[in-house]
Amino acid sequence: MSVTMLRNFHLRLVKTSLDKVSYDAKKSLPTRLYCSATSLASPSHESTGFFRTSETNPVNLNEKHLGRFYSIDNEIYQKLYVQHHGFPLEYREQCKVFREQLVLVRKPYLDLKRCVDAVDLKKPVVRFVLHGVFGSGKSMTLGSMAHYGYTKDFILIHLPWIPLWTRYCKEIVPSITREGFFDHTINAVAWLTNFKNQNIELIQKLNLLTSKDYQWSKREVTGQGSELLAIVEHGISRPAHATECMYAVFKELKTHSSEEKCKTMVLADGVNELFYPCKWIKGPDRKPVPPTQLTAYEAMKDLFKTDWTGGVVIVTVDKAALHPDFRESDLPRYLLKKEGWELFDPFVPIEVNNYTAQEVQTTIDYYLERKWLQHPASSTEEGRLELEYLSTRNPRTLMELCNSSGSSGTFLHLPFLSFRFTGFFR
Amino acid sequence: MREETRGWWRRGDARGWSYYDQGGIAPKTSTLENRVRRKDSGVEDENDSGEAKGTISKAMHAYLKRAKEHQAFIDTQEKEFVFGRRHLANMMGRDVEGFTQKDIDEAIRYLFPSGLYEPRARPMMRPPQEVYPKQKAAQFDMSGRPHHPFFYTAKPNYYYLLHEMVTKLNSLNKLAPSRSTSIIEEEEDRDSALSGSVWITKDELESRLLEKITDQMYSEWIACLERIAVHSKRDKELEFIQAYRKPLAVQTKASELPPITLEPDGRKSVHVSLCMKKSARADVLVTVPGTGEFKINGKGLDFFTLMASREAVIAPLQLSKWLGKVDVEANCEGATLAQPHVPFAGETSRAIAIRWGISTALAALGADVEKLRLAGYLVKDHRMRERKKPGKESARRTWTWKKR
Amino acid sequence: MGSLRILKHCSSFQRLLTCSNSFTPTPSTIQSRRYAIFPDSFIHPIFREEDQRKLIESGEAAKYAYLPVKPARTTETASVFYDDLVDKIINHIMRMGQKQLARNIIDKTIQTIKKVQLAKYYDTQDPEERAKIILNPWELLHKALENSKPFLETTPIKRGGHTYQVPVPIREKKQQALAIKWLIEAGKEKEDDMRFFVKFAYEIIEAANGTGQVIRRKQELHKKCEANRAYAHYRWS
Repeated sequence: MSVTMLRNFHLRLVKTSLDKVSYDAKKSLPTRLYCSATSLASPSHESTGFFRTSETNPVNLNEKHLGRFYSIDNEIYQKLYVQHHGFPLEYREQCKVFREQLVLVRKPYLDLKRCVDAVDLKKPVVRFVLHGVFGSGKSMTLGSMAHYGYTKDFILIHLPWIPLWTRYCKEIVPSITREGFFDHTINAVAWLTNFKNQNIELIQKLNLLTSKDYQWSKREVTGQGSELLAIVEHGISRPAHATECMYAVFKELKTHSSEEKCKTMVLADGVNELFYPCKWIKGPDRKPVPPTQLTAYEAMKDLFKTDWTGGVVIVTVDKAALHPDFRESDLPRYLLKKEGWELFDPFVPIEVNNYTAQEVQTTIDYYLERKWLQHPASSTEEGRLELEYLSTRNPRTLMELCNSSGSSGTFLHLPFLSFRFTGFFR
Repeated sequence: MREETRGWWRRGDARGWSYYDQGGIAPKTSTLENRVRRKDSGVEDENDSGEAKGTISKAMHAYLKRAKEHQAFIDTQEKEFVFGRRHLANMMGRDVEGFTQKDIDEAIRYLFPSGLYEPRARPMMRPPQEVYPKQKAAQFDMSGRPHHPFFYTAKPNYYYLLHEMVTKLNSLNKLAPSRSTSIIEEEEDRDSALSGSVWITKDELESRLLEKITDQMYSEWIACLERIAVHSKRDKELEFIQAYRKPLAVQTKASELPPITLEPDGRKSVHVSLCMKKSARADVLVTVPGTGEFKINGKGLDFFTLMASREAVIAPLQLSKWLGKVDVEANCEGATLAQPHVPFAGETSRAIAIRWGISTALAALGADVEKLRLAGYLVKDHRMRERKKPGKESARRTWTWKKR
Repeated sequence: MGSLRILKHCSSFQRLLTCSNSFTPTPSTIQSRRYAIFPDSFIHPIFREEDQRKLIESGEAAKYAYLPVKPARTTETASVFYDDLVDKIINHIMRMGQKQLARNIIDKTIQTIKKVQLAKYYDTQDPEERAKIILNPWELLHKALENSKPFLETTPIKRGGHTYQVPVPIREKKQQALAIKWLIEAGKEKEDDMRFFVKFAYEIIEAANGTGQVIRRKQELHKKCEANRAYAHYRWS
């Protein structure tokens, strides 16, 4: 099956499964069906809420669980997400408060799962591009795919929010090996640490070894045949080489996946930032550095190419990743620009829409059960209707509204400076 | 005491004494001739009959002169007005007979378009009685004796009115002497006959009395009127009280609401144009029955980024419980004066403009009008940004005063 | 005119003068915010459903048919989450007319209060202890304000060449304004790396519990008034 045929098959799959979402209040179920148990059990006890499902294995999630919350085990959550910022900051903060991690099972997630299952790993990698309006749930879908990939024994290359590499970059140094390029130190070390946390058992189990020598400097060498983790360790201990180590890890994994020694899942959030002029980052001589001169970005672009097999690439494009001057449209063609489009084409687009009316009510039920929605009016019909309308069913806006139960001034719907992941709670 | 004037104050007439008003009860000039002549201070009386008359006081002379001049002036103005009205009608190609004051106003507005803000400063053409203030006629006769017995209070009409009111009150008290029976206790009964009206304003009283009165005098007068209005036997003097009441119009006027249109698919819709707030302009189309869809400049309710704007837009729908039952389509523009530290300035103005449009449309479609009106959604907010004045830093802010 | 003078001293007449100047009613729900551009005869909008229902039930609604109404402000919405007190606090926090920033701060404050209280709630398993914890941030806010309202203050009054600090009662509105002002000032006394809304949230929680800086400030003021009790009569003499 050629790549084009595969893409068309997937497109058809995706199109038929995505129904048009309409603002039809009449079709939403009456709220009495969503009334959950009034007594709040402590998080360790099972709640009898209609909106929950006891299924914790993402492999088993299907249409039966659509519109319900599934729980991620604490250990897996700590491993995959906490240090790594795998999920958006606001969601992580909420998980801290609720003492549990629930994710809503939505259609884009199920479609993506089915597509990933159907991918032929012997063929060149398929790229899935999640797109949608700001706050529609792209990062959450991407994040939950990490759990799925982990369960399915994929090696995860998870790049949570790419603009952080330029937006709040702490340190940037001229590259030792590449002329005219710049390396990240702190960001790359952090990424390598998290990569190790996520994948250490799997890599050791699969016994992945380096395929060639890596000369970091005159005296530092990682020889061929040594463990892959050695590169990772080297990068962590030597920040100056960390970006190069990261690049090496990417290349190694591509090679190993092509040789069918392992499966790799690449998850990247906000890839469109790689292709736009960057105004934020400044080199040591205080001059702005274009993103084409960043080693890390080169590494990432290399990763998304189709010159390897045995893996899956899932990315999101988001206009919040860009400077406010470039936020005209939410669509991939605009967000990826010419260079990005040429790199990613052909890809499978998956649109992540706003909530349906039912999903809005389910979320409100969950917040009521967790005692997050404290205002007495939020459980009434009028209150629910108001929350639905004011949020325009956008997941992020609904979350922000429920933080303060109406009376809210979402200051700026789109962050002016995209400080999303550093957030207010430093 | 002259025959014709005896007991005139008992007639219950609160108007200013004027021998023009009294029509025919003018003092006879023949009696003046028999008055004592004042050699030094007198002035030759210019009588129409040409007879040699006795001297009259300077003040009276001035009065007469002024009165005559005023009358002559009014007459000429009247003639000019009539003449001008005819001319105007001919100019506009209209029938002179049916040319009403409204037509005159329209014609003047057309011929002399004015950009002036104050309506009173704009060109107008009115009968002279409406334009020139009424003047009091001669207060005293030829000999200098005042006509009005309260003349020496300096505000005879006002004090006479008060005097009259107290007389009435005394007569009412005679009918209900004890204190307990003299006042209507129940507030509802008190208000019943006089609801829907307010006392005339100080300016209106001044124009009726032709005298300037102070705020304190006005409030004293009101207090006295209230005393009568609250009396248990006030029905006897109801007519008198009503003369000083101004009826208030019921605020909700159905005639001002836009018409309902029938759509081809059988739904009803109302289109409201000229929705304004500051410099924001919007027009709104509300269709019923609907599914709660919003379409503002092509986007949904997420056109508004601020929650405040969204809340404002759905407020009338929430109040009348029509949220989710109508479709709203709006186009808005304007109010884009973005200030540097506030990137979304102007958004709430558009929201308020749309809110007014939605409220008016809902009122026209049959929602509870009184509820919307009391909530203040049916009133256009005509507040504009105040202009900067010279000598001040902004509209009100003065520059910091420095001693040296 | 003599009769008028007698009327003035009549006590019942005086009573009537004070109750209503005219037959236009002044309902208790009307706020006294004045707009320069609308005359006093315009009433302030009554935009809350409960207030409107009360008027209809009491039968006063008929009087309002003749009264013109001022246009409603942006914040005067029919939102089920509307709270007068929160609206007031937003205005106190607002600077330079930046209403959305002020609202954002209050949102974050409410969110922080919820987080703190829920953390306490989930930390204990004892149902008795849990019952004591107030999770509703609006309830806490109202309680905090009630607890921080001072009812006496001292004012300088000059008698016989000396200026005395005389204890004087505070009007209801001023009490509320002072309480809000003190809470905000307490929130501003924070460490540099702490956010204002976090400190503000903690101040509110403490004030609701009857502890904290604001309560202390109120108690100090009351103590000062108590100390100057002897001069209280200077208010009148």
